[in-house]
Amino acid sequence: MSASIYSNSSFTDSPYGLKLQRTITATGTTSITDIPAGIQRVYAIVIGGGGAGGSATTGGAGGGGAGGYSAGWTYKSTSVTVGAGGIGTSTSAAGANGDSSIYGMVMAGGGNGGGTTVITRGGGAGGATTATSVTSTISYTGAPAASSGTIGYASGGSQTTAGADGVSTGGGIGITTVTGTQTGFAGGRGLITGGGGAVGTAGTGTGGAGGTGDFYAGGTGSTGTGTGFGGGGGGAGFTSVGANASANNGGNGGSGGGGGGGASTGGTAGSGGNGVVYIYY
Amino acid sequence: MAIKYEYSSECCSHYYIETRNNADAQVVTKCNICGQGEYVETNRTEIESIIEPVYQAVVEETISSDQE
Repeated sequence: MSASIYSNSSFTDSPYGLKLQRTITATGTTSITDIPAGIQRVYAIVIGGGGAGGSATTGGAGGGGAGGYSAGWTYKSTSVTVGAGGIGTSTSAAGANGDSSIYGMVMAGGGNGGGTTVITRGGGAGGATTATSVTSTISYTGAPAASSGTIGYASGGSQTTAGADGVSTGGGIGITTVTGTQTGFAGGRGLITGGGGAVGTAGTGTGGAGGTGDFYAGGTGSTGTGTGFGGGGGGAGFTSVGANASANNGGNGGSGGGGGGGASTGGTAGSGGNGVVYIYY
Repeated sequence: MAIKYEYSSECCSHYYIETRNNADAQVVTKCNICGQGEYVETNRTEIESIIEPVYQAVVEETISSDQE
């Protein structure tokens, strides 16, 4: 004899079908204790924080990678962690990585921060865990990690041109050449996108745009003559557009994991967008 | 400090919760069930945004095959 899920009350744990019941954007770990007692399993979409853009004293720095996107069934957990985006700074250094988000057994990593002087690479996108340098990480569902400039579920950050396309995408590389007319490289196109790489030139500079998102636009790079311009645009987040760059500052990534834009010559890099968690039951 | 906002949609009274940092904007504004009405706030509660993670193992009851 076998048990039927249609007549055994132990299996009626999704009485509402699947509806979006909760959205959590508060960063850090928050207690969830009021999911109805009859709910034993839920479906979660979990998005990690975006990486910050890089900063450089001379020339343009790379854009940050997008946070990871994971979705799946999980047991009902009493806590949720939403990863903050990496904070952009004006100190010449690679950008800070985004933090991971997790609910139950569904997890998503943060995007890697964009590179700085000499190696102004774009940051890799997060998969199930946080990306390292240009290389993304394996996705929650098992899609492989991607190396520099390679398309993937979570794509790699660029070491040559624009960030590669994917679901979560890598940031564009910054341009180190400090003379002549220069145009920066964009983050990759996808669901959640990486930030644009910056340019810092004595000539006319245009920062790379944040990657074009499926739902929201990436921010534009700034344009002008001299090193006071050329910041990279912020990448599109899952829930909002990426911010435009301003002067030599990178634009912030959109909410829901967008990567921050790179900064040019002494500017402040864009911060990555915070992650988000959706719970359905 | 984070805020737990509770909403009811004006179209079908769907109960929906968002937990956000204080200054952040509402993320989902339109009813995600029927798509017709706005979510109207019914309650808000301050909660600690940073707590020690609590992972609770799920204890499954063994269901006898002939238990209907």
